Amino acid sequence: MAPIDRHECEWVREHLDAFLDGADSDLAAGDSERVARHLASCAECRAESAFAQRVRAGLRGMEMTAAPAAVIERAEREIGSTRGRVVALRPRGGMRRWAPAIAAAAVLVVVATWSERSRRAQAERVAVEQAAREAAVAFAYLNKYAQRTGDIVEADVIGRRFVAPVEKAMEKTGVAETKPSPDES
Amino acid sequence: MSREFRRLADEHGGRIYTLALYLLGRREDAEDVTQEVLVRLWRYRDRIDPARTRAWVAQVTRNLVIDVSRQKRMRAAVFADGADMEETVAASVDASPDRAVMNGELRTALEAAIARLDEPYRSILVMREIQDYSYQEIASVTSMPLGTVKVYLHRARRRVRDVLRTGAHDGAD
Ligand SMILES: [Zn+2]
Repeated sequence: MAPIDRHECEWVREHLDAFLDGADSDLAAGDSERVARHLASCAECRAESAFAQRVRAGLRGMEMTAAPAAVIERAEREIGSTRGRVVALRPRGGMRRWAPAIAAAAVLVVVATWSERSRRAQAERVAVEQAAREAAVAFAYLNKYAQRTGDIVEADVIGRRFVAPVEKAMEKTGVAETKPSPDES
Repeated sequence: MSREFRRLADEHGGRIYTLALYLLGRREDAEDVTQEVLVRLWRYRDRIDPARTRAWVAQVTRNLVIDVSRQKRMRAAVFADGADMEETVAASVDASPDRAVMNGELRTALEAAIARLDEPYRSILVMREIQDYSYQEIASVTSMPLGTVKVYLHRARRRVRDVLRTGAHDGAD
C-alpha cells in the first residue's frame, strides 16, 4: 500500500464536512471524488469521517426544547396589558402594506388644501411639502426597520419623526392658526 | 386574540426558546428573551412575510440575546458561556470521547461542545443542525453570504469534533 500523503489528509479534513453535506454539498464533482478516493485508502481519515457522521447524527437527534408554559402565559399577559400603548404603524388587515403611501398621499392632500386656503407664499408651500415628504420617508423607514428587527416603535417615535416635521412646517406657514374652532360655522 | 396567540406560540415558542437557551446558557435569561420575542411576534404578525417568519423569529431572538449578553457584561456579571453545562459534562468527555459517545452520553457531550463555540459558530450550528434552518434562512438571519455561512458551519462542526476528542479542558482556563 502506498504511504499516506499527509497533505492530502489535511486537504480531505478541510473538505470533509462539505463532502458529507451530500446533496447539499458545494464541492465540485472532482473534489468530491478526490475525498472519496482518499477515504478509500486512508484508515485515519475514514475514522474521522465516521466520527463526523456520528456527531452529525447526534446533533440532528437533539430535540428542541418547548417554551415553558409559564413563559407563554407571561407573554400573553404582557400583550393584554400593553395593547393600547403600542402605536400601529399601519391600519389593520390587507391595507397595511399600502399605509405609508396612503399616509403620504393624505398628508399631501391636506397640505394642498391648506396651501390653497392660506394663500401663503410659494416658499412656504414648498416647506410643507418637504415636511410631508420627510414624514412619508420617516414612515416608510419606520415600517421597514420595525419589520426587520421586530423592535417596538413607540408613540413618541412616531411623534418625533412623523408628526413633528409636519407640525413644524404648519406653524411656519401659519396653517395651524387657520384651524377652525368648534363654535365657528 | 388568545387562540391566535397560542397558535403562534405553539408554532414558534420552542424554536425561540431552544435558540435562546443554547446562546445564553441560562434558563431564566432564555425565558425572558422568549417572552419578549413572542410579544414582538404578536405585534408584528401582520407585517411579517409568512415565508420569512421562521427567519424573523431567529433574527429577533439573536438580536435580543446579543443585547442581553451585552448588558450582562456591562454589569460585570458572569456571561453564561455554558460553564455550567461544561462542568456537568467534563467527566463524561474527559477520559475518552468515544466512551462518552458510545454509552449514550453523546447528547450531554454535544451540549458542552456547543457551549464552547463562539459566535457566530454557535448560532449557525444550532440553527442548522438542531433547528433545521436552511442555509438561505441562516444567511438572512446572520446577514452573511451563503458561502460564508457554509464555511462557518464546517468550522463549527470541526470544532465540535475537536472538543469531543480532546475533552473540555483545552482553552478552558
Ligand atoms: Zn488521510
